[in-house]
Amino acid sequence: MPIYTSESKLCDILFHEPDVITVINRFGIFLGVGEASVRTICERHNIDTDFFLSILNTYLNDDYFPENVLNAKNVRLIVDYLNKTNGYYEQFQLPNIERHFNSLVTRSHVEKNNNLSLLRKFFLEMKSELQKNIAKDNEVRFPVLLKMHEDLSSNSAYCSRDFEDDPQPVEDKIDDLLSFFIVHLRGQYDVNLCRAVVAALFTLAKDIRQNNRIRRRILKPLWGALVEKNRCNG
Amino acid sequence: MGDTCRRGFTVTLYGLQKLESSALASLISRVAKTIVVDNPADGDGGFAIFLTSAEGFLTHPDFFLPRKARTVVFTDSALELPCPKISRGSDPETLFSLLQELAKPDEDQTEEYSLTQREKDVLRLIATGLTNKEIADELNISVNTVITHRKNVTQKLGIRSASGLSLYALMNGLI
Repeated sequence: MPIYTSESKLCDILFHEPDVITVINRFGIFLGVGEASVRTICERHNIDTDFFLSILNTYLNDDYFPENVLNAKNVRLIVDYLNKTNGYYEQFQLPNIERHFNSLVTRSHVEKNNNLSLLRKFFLEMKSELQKNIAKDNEVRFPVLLKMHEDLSSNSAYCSRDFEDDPQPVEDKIDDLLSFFIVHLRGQYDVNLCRAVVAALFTLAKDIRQNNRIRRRILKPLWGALVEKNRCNG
Repeated sequence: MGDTCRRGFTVTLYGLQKLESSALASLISRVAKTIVVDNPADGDGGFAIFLTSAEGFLTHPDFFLPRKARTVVFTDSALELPCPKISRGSDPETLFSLLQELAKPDEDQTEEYSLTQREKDVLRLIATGLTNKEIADELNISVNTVITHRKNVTQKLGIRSASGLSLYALMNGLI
């Protein structure tokens, strides 16, 4: 997997990695990028190029560990990026899967395949868990992170807080749901709708996995650095 | 019928009229163990085949739908149901053949059999919400052994979460 640089052409990246379309959208960049380099496009959109590349390479590459992420200016950027990611899950991906799932259950007739109703219930559990995680981001994690960032010079009350992030149960549940479809599915069902649900679940699972990597490799170290700085200042 | 007897399966009768139930219990006892229950869940231990009325089926669809592969509805009604029906006038041999057929593990059920009996026991107890310690106490084994069984179940089924394992157990008639 190549490591992309500021001189890489964004269109080349998109041709090789179409999943990145959702990532650039979260930075306010949309398709029709022309042939410009990452640096040119970032400057055009007033985006920090180093931060953009840290996100992009971490998203794409499991072996990539971003450098210089501990820069304080990244706090607002990472919160903004993850807020948009959460919004994308809540407004587009989850409703999209649910819509397909509902059609799949209706079209497959519950008397012929009750397992699909049970799988939909399991999906709704996963959805609720993901929504709880998002609520925790909005109500606790992100406000605390921003507060620590603003209060560096004061004796912040937040410095002793540990980073609380446990996205694993959601990742596990989506993987389980995919196992149910791919390995354990029984009975009659609408093949096209089933494929639509599975494809949408794969997309969500991959996006969550890759964004959790961003949380672990960028958000978590930033949190730790801010806690440490607050302790020193306190 | 000898084969059927050797399989040692149980036929659970639920939701039938009293006289009908006694007559069927006596008839089926020639080929399998029978029990008559007031709640279908009481007759779900081991490998049970269910024999119920259409009303019985419709009263507990949440219970019977996941177990439709081993449920027979004893009815003369034309109602469409997702499992085999047998009419009241059928001869005993037809009934025995149907029960024998359902008692055979078919292709759809083979996956369940890749788990050992102990792994199924552990899976069933995970599905009822017990902790590793409680499962260990219930089965008289060590917590480490429970953890090993749990790892094997997870690996074989490709399912990691406790709620996913419960769902698998429900879909495969283990609970």
